[in-house]
Amino acid sequence: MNKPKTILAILFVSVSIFSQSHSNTFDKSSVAISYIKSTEHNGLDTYWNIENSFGGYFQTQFYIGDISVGISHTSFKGLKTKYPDFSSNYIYLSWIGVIDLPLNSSFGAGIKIGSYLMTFESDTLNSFQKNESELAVGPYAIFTLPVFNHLSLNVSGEFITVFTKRSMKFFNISAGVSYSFSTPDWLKRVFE
Amino acid sequence: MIRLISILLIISSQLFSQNIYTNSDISKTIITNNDLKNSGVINISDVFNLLNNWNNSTINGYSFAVSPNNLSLYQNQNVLILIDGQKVDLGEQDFINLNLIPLTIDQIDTVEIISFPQLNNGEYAQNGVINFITKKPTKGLSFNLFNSVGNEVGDPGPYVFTQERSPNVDKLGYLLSFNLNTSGENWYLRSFIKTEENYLTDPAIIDRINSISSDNKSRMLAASVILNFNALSGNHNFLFGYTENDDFVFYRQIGGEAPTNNILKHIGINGTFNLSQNIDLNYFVKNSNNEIKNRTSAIYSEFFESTELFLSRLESKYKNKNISLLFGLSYENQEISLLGNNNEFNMITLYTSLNYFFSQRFNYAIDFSTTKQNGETLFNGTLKNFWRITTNNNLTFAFSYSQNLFINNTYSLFPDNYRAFMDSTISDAKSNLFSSVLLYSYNLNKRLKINLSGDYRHFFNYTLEDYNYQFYTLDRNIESNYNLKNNEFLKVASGSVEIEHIISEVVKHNLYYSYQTNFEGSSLFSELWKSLPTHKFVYSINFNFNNSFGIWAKYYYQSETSWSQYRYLDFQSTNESSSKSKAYSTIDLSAQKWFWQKRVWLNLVFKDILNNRKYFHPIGAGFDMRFYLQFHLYFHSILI
Repeated sequence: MNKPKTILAILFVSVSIFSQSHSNTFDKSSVAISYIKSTEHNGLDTYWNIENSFGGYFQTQFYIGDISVGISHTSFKGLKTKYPDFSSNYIYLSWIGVIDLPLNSSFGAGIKIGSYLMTFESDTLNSFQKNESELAVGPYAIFTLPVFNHLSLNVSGEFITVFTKRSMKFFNISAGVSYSFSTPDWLKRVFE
Repeated sequence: MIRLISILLIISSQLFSQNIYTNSDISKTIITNNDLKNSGVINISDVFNLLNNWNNSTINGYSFAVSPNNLSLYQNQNVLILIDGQKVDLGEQDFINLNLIPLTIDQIDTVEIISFPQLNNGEYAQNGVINFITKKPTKGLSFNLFNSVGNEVGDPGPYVFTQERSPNVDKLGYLLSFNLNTSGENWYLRSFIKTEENYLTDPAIIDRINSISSDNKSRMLAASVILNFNALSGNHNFLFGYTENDDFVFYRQIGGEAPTNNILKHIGINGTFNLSQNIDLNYFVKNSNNEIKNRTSAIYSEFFESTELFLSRLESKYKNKNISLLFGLSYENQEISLLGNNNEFNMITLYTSLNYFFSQRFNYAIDFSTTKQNGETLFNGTLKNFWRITTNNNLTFAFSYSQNLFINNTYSLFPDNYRAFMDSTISDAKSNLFSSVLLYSYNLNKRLKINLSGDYRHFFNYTLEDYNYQFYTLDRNIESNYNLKNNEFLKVASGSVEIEHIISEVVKHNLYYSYQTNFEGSSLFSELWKSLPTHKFVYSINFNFNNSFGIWAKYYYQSETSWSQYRYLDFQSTNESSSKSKAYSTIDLSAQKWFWQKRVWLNLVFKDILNNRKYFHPIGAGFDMRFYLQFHLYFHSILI
């Protein structure tokens, strides 16, 4: 699993170097939704199966590259009754350096940092035990291809490490659509 | 005495005229509010981590034992802590918990730190000074809200339901504060309240805590009111502070924590009357109460102690373009109650300082104070010399000699120590410290500054506590045996280099290295000194884009330390804990962004991104990577 992680890290560094700074910070924004295919590679699959996963984010231009906030939701099904089902909400902040490609497409690579919130479904747990949160970090890359007016298709890959005592390591591939627009003045004033 | 001061003032005022005053504090560091924010300071005690020439150690991450610029061991904490020049009493045994101060970083304009023995705000500060200077609010009504949450990595996550389960680790730093201010032409009023909560779940201390308390959470509530006004040809500052803290205070004498409810009350006023163009009259009166009793969750009841402190000070300052002369008199009364035993101490101090601006190049200063306490007379003095060699080159050298009584050196009033406290041959033992510093600074184009410093300390006639802890693996409890030893001495030499470089308007960075060694001393002092690192290296870099977005990073390294009090710990804990704290490196990151035309400020802080567990004390909590988010909301000058 170190291979995709290394590739993403190299992409992150290279794109960061070549990414240009924006004179028009916050001028353009976009919102996106995506379906995620998630796999875990550090033993969690011994106890739980990963079921549905989907996410969405808001992205805008930053001083250098783009910045976004988003959420990814994933459901986990216990393989035995003693392993309660749980769901996770990964609330993150990400930064990507972006380089333009032919056909108005673009490629970005960067990093995501966020809080990985877990909610366990069991009647025997108290509210303190039912909820858990942990830091999650990982490299991230995305390819965007405009298809119609403001609409684009996105394909992305990411590696997430959740810093639990025995860390959880996810590799996610996602596909989705995004809608781009000029950032409203009131929103730009909030960002500035 | 007052007549004598008046005569001296009249004589001096007739000798000089004109008006200029230059600050002559040496080894002084100024931390601005921007510095605090850029570097991801959340709790006030995080300030200690910004002081390159101060060493610190912590058991729980909030209370610190410090060694300011090699002026003390981690014993005998008597750092002078001030809010707007008013001395505050934060006595929490022999640790300093700056978070007890009823302020957050939003109220702080600057922090002044002094790391060489000298007179400061009427007190001869042997072990350093930290003065929190609060902000002056903008006109009209203003308020701000501050909320922070944090966490330490290493929770079990879903694995808690499997055979790979592990204990939960600390939730950190929940802090919520609200601040309401109003300001007029010649006055302002600040009111403030904060609450903090922390879970103590670290395996290193949770077992000790579980055996003494039914609750493992620490809670704090603090409030303050500051009224500043101009009247009677002067400026006056009134401060009321209240802090209540349910916590687990570490007592060296028992080798572990005690479940305490600590209530601190402070009421004081200080100010200045401008008697003439050249003469100011400064005053300070305060009364404070520091009460420590069992918290309600305590499983057993053991102790109660309280210290009532009354302090008053009157000083007169004369200044002209060549000279600044100060005379002052202070009176301090302490009433200490411990387990039903009451004791009272009176202390009278007479002090003076003279700054003489000989020429554009030379500047001399002398501080002197004498204190009468417990029938003993103490003398303290500092001689400072400043030489501007050229426009870019400055040389400073200073010497100080200071004396202190053992009872002033320690908050350790626990029963075993109380016997010593009552024994005048020990409590009145005078400790002596000779310090010197040679400081060279080079400035180039305001973009590059290099400071080279060499320091020498000679501690003699010190009374030190000699501990020998026994560790019990089963419940992690610790039993202490200790003696007080007189006539301890040590000589220490140290050197440091600091380079500050502003690369551009966006990027600046700072490099610091220090080395210290002790070369002659008694065996106990020499052994205890090993708890301070020999080498220390700090590098920090700050990016600031458009005054709206910034990234700060710091690399920190310190060499191995050794704690002789815990010399049997490795063996008795079957190597689970160690009397040695290994050399370690940390990298901290902070990213901050203003929103909504500087009304909202968000800060994301990562401490120790290398995520290697480290210990800052042999029996303290282990620290992995921690992350925090802080949110600040500001509304200035509304309803003008």
